[in-house]
Amino acid sequence: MNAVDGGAVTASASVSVPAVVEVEGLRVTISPRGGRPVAPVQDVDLRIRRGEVVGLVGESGSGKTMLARAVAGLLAPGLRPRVEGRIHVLDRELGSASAAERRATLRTDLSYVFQDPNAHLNPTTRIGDQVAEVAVPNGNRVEDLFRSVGLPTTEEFARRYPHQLSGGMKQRVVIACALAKDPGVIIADEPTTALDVTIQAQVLRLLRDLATTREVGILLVSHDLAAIGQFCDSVAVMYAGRIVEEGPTSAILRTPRHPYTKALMGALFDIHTPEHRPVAIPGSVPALDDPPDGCRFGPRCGYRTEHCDDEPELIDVGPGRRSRCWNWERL
Amino acid sequence: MTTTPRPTPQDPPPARETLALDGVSVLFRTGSGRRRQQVTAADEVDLTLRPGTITALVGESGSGKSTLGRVACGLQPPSAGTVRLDGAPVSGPGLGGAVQMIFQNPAASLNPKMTVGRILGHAARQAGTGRALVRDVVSAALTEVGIDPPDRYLDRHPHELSGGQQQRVAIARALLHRPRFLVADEPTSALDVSVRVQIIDLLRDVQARHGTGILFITHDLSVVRAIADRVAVVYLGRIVESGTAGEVFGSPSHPYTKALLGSTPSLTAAAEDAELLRGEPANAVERPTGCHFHPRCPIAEQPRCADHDPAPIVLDGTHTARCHLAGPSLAVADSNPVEARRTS
Amino acid sequence: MTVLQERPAVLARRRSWLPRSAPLTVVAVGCVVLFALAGLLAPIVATHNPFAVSPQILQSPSGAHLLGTDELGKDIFSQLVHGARASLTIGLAAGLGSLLIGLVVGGIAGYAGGAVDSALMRVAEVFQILPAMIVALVIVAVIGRGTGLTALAVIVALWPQAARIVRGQYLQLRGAEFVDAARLARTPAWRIIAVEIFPVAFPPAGVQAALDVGRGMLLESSLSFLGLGDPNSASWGAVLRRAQPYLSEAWWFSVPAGLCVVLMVLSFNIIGDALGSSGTAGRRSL
Ligand SMILES: Nc1ncnc2c1ncn2[C@@H]1O[C@H](COP(=O)(O)OP(=O)(O)OP(=O)(O)O)[C@@H](O)[C@H]1O
Ligand SMILES: Nc1ncnc2c1ncn2[C@@H]1O[C@H](COP(=O)(O)OP(=O)(O)OP(=O)(O)O)[C@@H](O)[C@H]1O
Ligand code: SF4
Ligand SMILES: [Mg+2]
Ligand SMILES: [Mg+2]
Repeated sequence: MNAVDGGAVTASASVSVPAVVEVEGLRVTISPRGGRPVAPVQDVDLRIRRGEVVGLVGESGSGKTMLARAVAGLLAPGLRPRVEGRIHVLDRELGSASAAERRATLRTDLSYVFQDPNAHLNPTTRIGDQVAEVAVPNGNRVEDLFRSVGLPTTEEFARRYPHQLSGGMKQRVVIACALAKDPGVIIADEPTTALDVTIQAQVLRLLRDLATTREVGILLVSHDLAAIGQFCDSVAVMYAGRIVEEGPTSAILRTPRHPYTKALMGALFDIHTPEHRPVAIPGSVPALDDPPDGCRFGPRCGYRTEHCDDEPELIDVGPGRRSRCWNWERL
Repeated sequence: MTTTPRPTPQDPPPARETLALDGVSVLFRTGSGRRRQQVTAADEVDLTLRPGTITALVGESGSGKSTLGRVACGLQPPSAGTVRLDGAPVSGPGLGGAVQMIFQNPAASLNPKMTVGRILGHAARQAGTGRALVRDVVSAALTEVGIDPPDRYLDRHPHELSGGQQQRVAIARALLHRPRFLVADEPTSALDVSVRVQIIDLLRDVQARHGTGILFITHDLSVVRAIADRVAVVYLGRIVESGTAGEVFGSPSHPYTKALLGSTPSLTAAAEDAELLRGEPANAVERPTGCHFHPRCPIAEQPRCADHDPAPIVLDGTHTARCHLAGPSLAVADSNPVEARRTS
Repeated sequence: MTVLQERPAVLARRRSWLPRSAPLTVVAVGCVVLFALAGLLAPIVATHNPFAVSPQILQSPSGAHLLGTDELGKDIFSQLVHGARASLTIGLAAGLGSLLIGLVVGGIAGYAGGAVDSALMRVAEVFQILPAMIVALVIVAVIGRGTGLTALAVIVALWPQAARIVRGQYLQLRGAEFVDAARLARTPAWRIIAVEIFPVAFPPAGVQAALDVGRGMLLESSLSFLGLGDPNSASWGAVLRRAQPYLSEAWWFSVPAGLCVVLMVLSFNIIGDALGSSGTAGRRSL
């Protein structure tokens, strides 16, 4: 196996902070009807600590949603998913747990925020009642929750229906719902993709603050490396079903140690450095049923060497940092 | 594709050679009976496009960007005001063949039941290409937008192309009409970051090569900063700030522009510095009194901002802002790049 | 806003036109083919002349008469085989006829919108509200009875539904971006309706047509059962009508005919649903 613990031990002070989610050797295989079984998530280790926001980035189709849903136990049954590996949520092993135990853990300790708030809210129920439904049994007050997500605490507001709110407000209500059960973990899959930049900044900052004040571990899935860079403590970069680089955000953005991370950064326009000329990443994410030999990123990689015909492992490349590249030192 | 020589940015065209929206308003009526509502999607907007120039239209969702874009290419007749081409009023889809449009969702902008060859063939025929030449013209157009070799793609249906390729085909289709102006409505927001750059480069290429004037609609200011010559910021159907890219980004003067700048994610600046907007996007049905932005404005001065509608103020050159407090007195909040995190 | 709609190459999944519930659909298609063949080859398949009266009345099924005989001693199996021809013809006529009217009326209403749309849809509503029976009664009373007239009555009853569906499609597609692109290319309206939108709008209308074949057969049976059909037709409905007085003593007279109707209507419904689910499924491959 990879040096999982080695990586974490070197990760400075954060060792003492307990992990709320620990995933090891996760592999998800799906068998959609009419298609061959494919594995959109392979060999994934992931650790989220209390109070930490972990960003998960990668191009469309790299497997972010599959990974997030696998951890949350939310894979669509229609895909006939098979999940292998260890998933610990708050010290409980979900892989070997009975279905009922697993559901109990996920129900009480983990909240999932979808991209589309409408998928979460019942259009026929007042928002106050929807939040209360989860909050009251857990001893929380709707008013407090609304305040902590920056929503008005008036009676009038709580009596509104979802359709009377803007997209950003709805997403806040969803986050209030997510907080209502005092979860240890929140998984948010592209929670701001459907929102305007001004609102996106508000919602991401809210999540960031909640992680700190409420000591929740947050997994923030996004395709926007810039947004992730601004709001996450650490980042996991995903490519073709695997994590190819992970580590503290600032370190990764300063010195990326995987060509894919570097390429993703290089493809971005930046508001503060307009003279920077972004460069597209050639080619596209490989098809799951026809992966390239050797390094999955190889066909698109500018640092490719003969070595790359063998598949690289995720290895330590610095304090708390790991990369799945043979040539990381040449970057 | 055969190209007629066109004025390039180097030799500026006569000022009259423009596509101009002149006091354009667009009202939509929705619902019926007691639920009848009126949406003001555009409110007396003046906007001028020049050949060989990229004009960016930015603003939040529902501010009226697409509506203005559709007016500019004649798909949406204005409720009031005029669209002028070289000074003469024009109307009808395409404004007499002068304007084409690129859409946000490339998959939806190509007929799902037709092959690439047929889609482009139609366009070529419609643009007056003789039957015998169609195939060559289409192949040349595909090559021009970077779909190579074209023969391999002619018989494909749109769903057999990646999103980036679909958008290229859509651009090829627009170019077959040799438009003088191009409206690109969020042409990259449905695409992956890795492809985004390619499409933007392609559009800049078109602009440079054919001297096309482009109205680039987007909500991504980082792209605007990199490619636009002129910028217009829209809020609730009105242009609240406009000017050259240098003017607007160099000294943003409307508080909304500043909020947009501050909220734009960046790899090179920490998010904590940015001042965030209060409140929620207003809606185009019940627009606030006075300055439409005042309920969310961090610097609003009451009662002036709530009661009086500010007129556009000319700051300098072509730089205008629609804010009571705009002007030299409004200090320019600079967004300190904290630490250059980007490696090169 | 930024919604990553793009599903890149990795989502490549080919689908055949056969939908998920393939086995059921195959059975349905098989049934239709079987009945259609029987109808087409009726003179060969039938064991007797369906109109030949004999003294052996109301006989239960036997080697000589596979499904027994009716009150006039005619062979029921042979009547059903010939009936398949009559019933299927009317059903298909109904499906095609209502599809055709639906496409024209719905297409114009949906693309034009506004007052044209309102006017056409009001007309459609009137026809939809009138029970098919009453329409049929009026036709029978005014013009008389006959296979063509029965088909006409059925079409009159069914077209509004098809028109509604086509109109919905056109209304939706009229605002589609590819239609805007066509308008920008100065494509004439007729061409947008017929060449650009039609192939996209057609599948749901086709589904409705398949359903209408079934509904048409059902309606024809009801009309015949009530004596409003073609008196000379040997359709299943006509057999059912004549079986009415003998329901208790001669089950073979009514049950097989009823089964035929049910089986066909079900089959066309299954085929319609199957077309529906495969037609709307997005296809992607690279
Ligand atoms: N319903 C499905 N049927 C078949 N394959 C699927 C399905 N959903 C996802 N996949 C496959 O699983 C892989 C991972 O998809 P996933 O949705 O996790 O990607 P993602 O990184 O979340 O992308 P995005 O940024 O577009 O949300 C993709 O390659 C895709 O082909
Ligand atoms: N056909 C229509 N009928 C009624 N209202 C409309 C119509 N088209 C647009 N609107 C309304 O006009 C306003 C402006 O819409 P528009 O689509 O121009 O905004 P936008 O700036 O392009 O937004 P986005 O960034 O979401 O694309 C919105 O309030 C919208 O709801
Ligand atoms: S292992 Fe080789 S091909 Fe893969 S990312 Fe590193 S250099 Fe590129
Ligand atoms: Mg996803
Ligand atoms: Mg728009």
